[in-house]
Amino acid sequence: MKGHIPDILLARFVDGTASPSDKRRVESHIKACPDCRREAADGRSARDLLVRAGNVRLTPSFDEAFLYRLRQEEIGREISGTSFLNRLMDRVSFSIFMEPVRLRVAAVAAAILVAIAASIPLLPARQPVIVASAGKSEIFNAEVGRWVRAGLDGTVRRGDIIRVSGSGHLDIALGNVYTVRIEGGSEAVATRPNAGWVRRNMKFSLARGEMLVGTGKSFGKRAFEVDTAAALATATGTFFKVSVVGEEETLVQVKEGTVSLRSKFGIETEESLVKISPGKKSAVMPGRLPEPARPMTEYEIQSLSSAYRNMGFERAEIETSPDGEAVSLILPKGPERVDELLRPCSILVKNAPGEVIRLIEESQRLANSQDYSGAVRKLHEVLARHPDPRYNSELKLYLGAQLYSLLHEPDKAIAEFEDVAKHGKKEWRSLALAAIAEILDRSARENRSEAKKVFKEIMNTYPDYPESQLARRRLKNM
Amino acid sequence: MGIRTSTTTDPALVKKAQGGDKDAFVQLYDMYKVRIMNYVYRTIGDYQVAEEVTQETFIKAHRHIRRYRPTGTFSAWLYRIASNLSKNTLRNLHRRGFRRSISTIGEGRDIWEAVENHSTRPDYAAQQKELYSRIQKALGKIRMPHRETLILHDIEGLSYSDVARITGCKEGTVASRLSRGRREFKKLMAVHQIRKTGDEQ
Repeated sequence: MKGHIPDILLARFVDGTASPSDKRRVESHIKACPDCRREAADGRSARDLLVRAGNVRLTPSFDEAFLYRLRQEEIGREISGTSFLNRLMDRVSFSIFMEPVRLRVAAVAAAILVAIAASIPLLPARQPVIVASAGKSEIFNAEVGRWVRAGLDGTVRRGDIIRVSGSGHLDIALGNVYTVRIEGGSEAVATRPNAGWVRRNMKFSLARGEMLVGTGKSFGKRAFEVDTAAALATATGTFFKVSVVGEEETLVQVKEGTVSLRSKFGIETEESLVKISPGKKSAVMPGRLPEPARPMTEYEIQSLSSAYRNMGFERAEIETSPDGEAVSLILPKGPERVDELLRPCSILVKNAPGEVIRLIEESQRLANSQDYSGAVRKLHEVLARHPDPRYNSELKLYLGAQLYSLLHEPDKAIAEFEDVAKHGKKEWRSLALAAIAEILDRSARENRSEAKKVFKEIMNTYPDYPESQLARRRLKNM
Repeated sequence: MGIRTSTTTDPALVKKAQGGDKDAFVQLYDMYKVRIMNYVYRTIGDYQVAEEVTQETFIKAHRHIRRYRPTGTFSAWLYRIASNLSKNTLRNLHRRGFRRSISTIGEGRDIWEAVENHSTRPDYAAQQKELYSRIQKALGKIRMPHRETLILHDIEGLSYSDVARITGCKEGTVASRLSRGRREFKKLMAVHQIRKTGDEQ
């Protein structure tokens, strides 16, 4: 052997996987070459050390946290690429926070905290931060006792006063829990910006101006409260806007979920509380009872939608159109919407006959308690007993998604999607085809060519729909 | 000790999981969670982040299990997901300026599995744990491709072909990375030794 042993051969020799002839060559070489002899010995000792490396221990609540997430994944909630990153950032900031503490007691305390944090993965232990800002905003920091300029990534602490000037706005977010936008000309107080370790409601007070609340995937069962001089608006898991206008009149507009609006007038009676459903609004003057909820105007709906879009809430894109869609699928706009559909996505039911709403609600309750076949049966019941072109396509898409993701019945799912692709509303046909192609592509290799055909059909028939982008991408990879 | 559990998975179990059997998937998770956690922790060097990435690995595996084809071993498929996720995570964290903190976090915390009682010497377990931390520290200083290869082959005990499949390179590259990685590792451990004896004097 000329020169020294090449690295490729050295590793195989050390690991004993070199061919007999190679082995002989190396052995005869190292007899004569002390450098290579040392190299081989070093390689062997390094390997032996590494083989002895210990195992990492899992946190006691690791399994529990994982099974919780798996369940969430199965019912199609939470957990996507972005929320993974958010959770990660929570964990990292937690680690850094604990880092300088080297005392033994602190290590034990950290272990306990880690266990708690891991077993309750949705509970954040940090302050909300400023995620977007336009125009000039100031924060009165209660600790320092003076006004400071509000900049990106600045934190908002309990009791801070936030002032946003003129035409700007300030977005404050607590990870995936909520984002609030305080519009220009507003003054608000972060009364309780963080639920803390005890599950309490989060609360902001609005002195003047406008504030939009958007709750995220990790919001859970808490409530978000906005307090004004005239009223207290309490919401659970929703998108809503509170404005203080004119003579301290409080106006609440609701985009998703339900908001309870309670006037601060005298003693509490039935009349001092109004429940506002999506697409409706209500107002209350100081010292008066709240108005009954009434529908928002088309302009109000549109400007609210665009405000949320602006804040980055893509999921809340689809809105009741003025003529009243009965069933909306909650989907993003882009080509990835088929993934969201098959997860399966969530639906929103409005303006439908009471019986239909009841059946769909029952179906969702069954799905939540993992009785998927019961859930699907209820949906079939709606389609059979209350067929209505206003929502048939949407419900069939939803049904198909459930059949595929929850019951693992790809054939039945494809049948539903085919029906939409052929006879459904035009706007959903490309999505239905994409769903068929995805299912075929994910199932077995022999279905690949079928999937290819469907993707081609999408590109040819629906070139202007987002699915054609997806089809082009997928065909390129096939 | 690195784990040397059998790498052969019951193909029927995987098949069941692919058919949507949740219990089967949970069984697979139980079989592989410690190995994946070990691998991810050693690659990333942060315990908290590693737990998160490990869980995400299995969530991703669950989501895409139908795409798994039995051309390679199931464990290699899992490692591949974990590998991609770990590298993406490191990139993401570095981009957000967490570069320095990452490698130092986790020191001083007891994250190692209890050492089997090979010896009656009371300080044996403590010594072992110190060794584990030193190994981890040295690994953290080795360049990523070499580090990954060392972890997969020498610690996790995977074959050259599995490592090649996971890291997306040829077996020859695996072999040369092993040699270079071991050389680097040996040097780093030696430096530590010298420093330590220097401190004592």
